[in-house]
Amino acid sequence: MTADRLPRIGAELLDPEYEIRLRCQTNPPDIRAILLVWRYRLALLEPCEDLLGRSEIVLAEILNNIAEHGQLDGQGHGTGNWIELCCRRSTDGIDMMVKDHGRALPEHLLSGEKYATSPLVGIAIDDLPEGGFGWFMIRALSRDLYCQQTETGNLLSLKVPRDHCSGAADTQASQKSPNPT
Amino acid sequence: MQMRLISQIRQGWCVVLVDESRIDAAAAIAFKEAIRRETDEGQGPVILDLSRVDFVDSSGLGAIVAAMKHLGGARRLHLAGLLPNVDRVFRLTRMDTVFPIHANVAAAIASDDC
Repeated sequence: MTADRLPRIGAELLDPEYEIRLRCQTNPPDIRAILLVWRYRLALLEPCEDLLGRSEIVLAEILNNIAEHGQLDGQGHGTGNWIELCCRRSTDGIDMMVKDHGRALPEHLLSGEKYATSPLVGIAIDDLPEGGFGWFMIRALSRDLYCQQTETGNLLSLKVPRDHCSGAADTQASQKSPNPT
Repeated sequence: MQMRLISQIRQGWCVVLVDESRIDAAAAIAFKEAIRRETDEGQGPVILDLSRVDFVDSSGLGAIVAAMKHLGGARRLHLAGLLPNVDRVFRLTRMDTVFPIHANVAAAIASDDC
């Protein structure tokens, strides 16, 4: 995809520490569009296709989760439903920070055991779930996951590691931090 | 949102090519509706050819599971042609233990695993 074909949505944020700064609204078409812009720009900085692919899965699931569960009651598609995204390449992976203006993330998403294994384990085919994989994939593919509730929403940060062992769930315990970096 | 699917019958198999680059949250409902239209009147096992799909998220995964359930036990849903990042999602979630996954459509047909 060439730059002039990319959807031109959202304004850039001002945090100079991050190489990619984007924002979008919390609806699936805009989330798809912002992911395409983000992927194009990250690929200019990071040549490892495997790392790009893992990062795309993680970011897509974070944004989808915000769109599905994070909107405040009654906001609909109002001006409060913006997601802000910052991303940078580092020597040990891809660092991401996502701000939203929705409900607080449930603590069990970040610290519980529920998402340590695939929802499929131990389930009969007739009872296969059609959802619930998003946080499992985020947890499996990322580390240093922190979330802080702010006055206006949530601030989530994480790293997609460069040296990930493909297909194996990350065993590092996620935790809440009062001072996400 | 439109979801372009292209169907053909090959040696008793219903082969459905997904002519899209993404099955994601924006496309999951359209995919579920489209795959039902493509398969409801047919017979035999179904091969979903994903060789043009470079991204599937958890919503897309759920839509493919829903398609499998809709087909029922008599018509198994096979997957073929998974690109690396799509293959990763299926293996990470252990969906590769649920669906027969083949390198391509020809390999699926050759497997004779109806």
